[in-house]
Amino acid sequence: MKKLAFFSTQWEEGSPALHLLDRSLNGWPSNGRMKEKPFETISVYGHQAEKHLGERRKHPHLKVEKSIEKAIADADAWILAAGANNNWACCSQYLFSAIKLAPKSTRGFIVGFPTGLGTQQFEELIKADVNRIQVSTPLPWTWRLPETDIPSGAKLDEAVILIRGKFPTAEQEAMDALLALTSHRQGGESGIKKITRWTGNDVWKAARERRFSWDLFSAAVSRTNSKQGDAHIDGRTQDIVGLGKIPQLAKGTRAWVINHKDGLQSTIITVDGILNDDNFAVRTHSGEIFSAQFYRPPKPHDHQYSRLMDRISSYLIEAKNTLPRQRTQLWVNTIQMMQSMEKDNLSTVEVPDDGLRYALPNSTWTP
Amino acid sequence: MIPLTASNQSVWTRRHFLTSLSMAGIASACGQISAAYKEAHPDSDRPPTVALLATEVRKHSHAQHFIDRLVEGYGWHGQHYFPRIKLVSMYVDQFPKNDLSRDREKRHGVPIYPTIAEALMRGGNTLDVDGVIIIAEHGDYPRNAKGQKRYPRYRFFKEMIQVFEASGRSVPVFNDKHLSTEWSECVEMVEDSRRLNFAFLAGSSLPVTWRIPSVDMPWNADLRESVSVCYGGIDSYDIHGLETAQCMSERRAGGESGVQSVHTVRGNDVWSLLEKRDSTRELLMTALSRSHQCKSPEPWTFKPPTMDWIRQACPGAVAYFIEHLDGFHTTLFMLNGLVLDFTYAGLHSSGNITSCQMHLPMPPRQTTTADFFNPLSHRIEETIMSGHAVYPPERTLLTSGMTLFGVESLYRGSVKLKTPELEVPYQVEPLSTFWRG
Repeated sequence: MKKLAFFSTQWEEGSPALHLLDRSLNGWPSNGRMKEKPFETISVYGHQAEKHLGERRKHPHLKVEKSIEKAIADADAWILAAGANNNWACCSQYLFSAIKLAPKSTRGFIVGFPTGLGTQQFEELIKADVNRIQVSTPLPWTWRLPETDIPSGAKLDEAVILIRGKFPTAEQEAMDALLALTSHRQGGESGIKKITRWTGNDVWKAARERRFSWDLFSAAVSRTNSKQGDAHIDGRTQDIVGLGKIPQLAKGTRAWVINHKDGLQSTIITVDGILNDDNFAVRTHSGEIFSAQFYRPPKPHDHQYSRLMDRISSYLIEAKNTLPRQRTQLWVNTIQMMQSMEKDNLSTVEVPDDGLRYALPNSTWTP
Repeated sequence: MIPLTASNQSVWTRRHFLTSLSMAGIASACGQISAAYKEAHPDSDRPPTVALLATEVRKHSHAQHFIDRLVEGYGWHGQHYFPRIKLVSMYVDQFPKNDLSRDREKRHGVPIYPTIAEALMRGGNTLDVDGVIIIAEHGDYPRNAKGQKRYPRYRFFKEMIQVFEASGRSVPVFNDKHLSTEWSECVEMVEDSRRLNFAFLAGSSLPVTWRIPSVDMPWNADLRESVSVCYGGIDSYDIHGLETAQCMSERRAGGESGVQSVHTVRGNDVWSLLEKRDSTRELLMTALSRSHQCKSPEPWTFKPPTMDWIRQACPGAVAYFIEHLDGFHTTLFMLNGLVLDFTYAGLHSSGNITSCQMHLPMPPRQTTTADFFNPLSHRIEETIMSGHAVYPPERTLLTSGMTLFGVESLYRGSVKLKTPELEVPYQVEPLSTFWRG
């Protein structure tokens, strides 16, 4: 392809935009070889891009544009990468401009979660551009330790995802990863009927009351290699679940139990203070448990962005790896409901039937 | 010259013995662990007991990792796993200011004995454990002129052998990392295990850790060449890099034949030799494509490495060029300044390449618990429970030899050394032992 337009509101070192821009300009490692950069020219536009891109501006294939119109003109594809600052008020302006100004055949990939867009506005947008826009984050596509996946067509009873970070960024990534784990289950994604929220000690009270599976929580914890607490002091490998250490270690825990219409129960729990990595466990109806760590390679290279680039490039260039729009809508709607619950301090929300269901014959994750 | 004890005759004899030992061991280690232990100890309901001999126990020393896994358990196959073997005694050689052995002794009631013999006999006058774990890594020990740190692995081992001999029985033994810093001592250790007929497991955690992606070298593969890329110092991380390659190379058709020469070079000599070896260069670049910690030039978060950049980033690069007796080649690149992980690439006769990263997240930057010790702890337990080494000691004998002769080559001014001593042929079974569950 000839031209990629690249937008972001945040270009600081370590930002998603820089990771993806560098790979777009230089290539990236993929399946035991280096993939060559797929675009001849990359036109960048965004707040303070000039300032933060620094030496990168000397790259012969990079152009920093003064207007979004110039950046998108004649582009064959575009990427919009949210910053860690989640400045979607500004990003949404870029997004609408990109869609409005780009030729109809141009595909775009949004990296991050478009928080600032109203539900209806975003729904209309993605409905109108069914096959032109994909949205995701790195977590669903990164490596897993072990390299495990849920069998296609498996009937699932329960899933637990352990994630770190602030609200709502952690929940956004966890929900995206949850859908990657469970959408290819028997019957596909059925939609969500209820969300329950606990915070602080109420999370552990809910655990004692078996409101979510402690076995799955334990299985997910067993996949960590960064226990906190005593392990920090002297490297101890102790059983922090069995020793009852979890509530003592936990800092500002949030838990979300998501009841799907087909009976699957998914729980997202933040584990700050407990672990320093992200893990999951899923139980099938037959009782088999699949668990793994979502492996995020070390900084400063953050090669989960290389895995994401694989998906982005295959979509932008070959229209492959397309996720259904209902998946994006379900993701967005769920997070927005969580935001409302957080804002209004609600413990339970019954989700009106929004008709959001979809089926995926196979897993969208690749080893 | 490196002192040698092994004549060609004894090597030839050892080849047959060790080959049969390793094949029998691998075969019987599968699925029969508890049964094997019960057969050997029909009147015992107690768990097998082990003594651990350590140089020092402090946060993130190898001994701390192994001790804590024995007494606290570790994550394994989706659960917190408590070993079926019981740590009952320790010998600790040094007690630095930040010592943790006394804490572990008090916390878990595992006594530290003043001598190795006492730790193995637990206050009695005969061997009183079912397995021995030797972790002689880390601690304050002298370096020789070649830069090798003289860890007391051989001394620990020989004091243990004296107890075995005096007791008239032996038990399975694990030795962490390479066997010793003298080839004659390495050979003697393996010969002792043969003479006294005990299972001897040794080596690095690299062969058994996660692989990213989770690939295995097909057994009986038509492999022509292996390249491993790592970082660290000589006589330290080189053994890890060599075991990274060897656990793949040994699965080639015909098995391992042994090594005929070792040639270690540094700096520009690495790149000069590499210019003549297209396939090695291709494997180097493929291995680097599996790295998650390959440094990029400023200002990039990532830029695929070029040969120019590799040379610039690691002026002190070291490479071990190793020729095997069957014409197979192994090259270990130690690229300090460029990488901070362990990667592998192997070239098949078809031109296809198998490549992966052997995942070794180092504490404290990437992990608090260094869980690559989990699979190694599990393999030790399997060896002690079954009475058979789950992979052959010849692997570590050979990688110890590659390490020692590699250091020797460098010490002598990067001369290429013929290594008839390293005619250590062996074969492994199809079963692989890396962590994937």
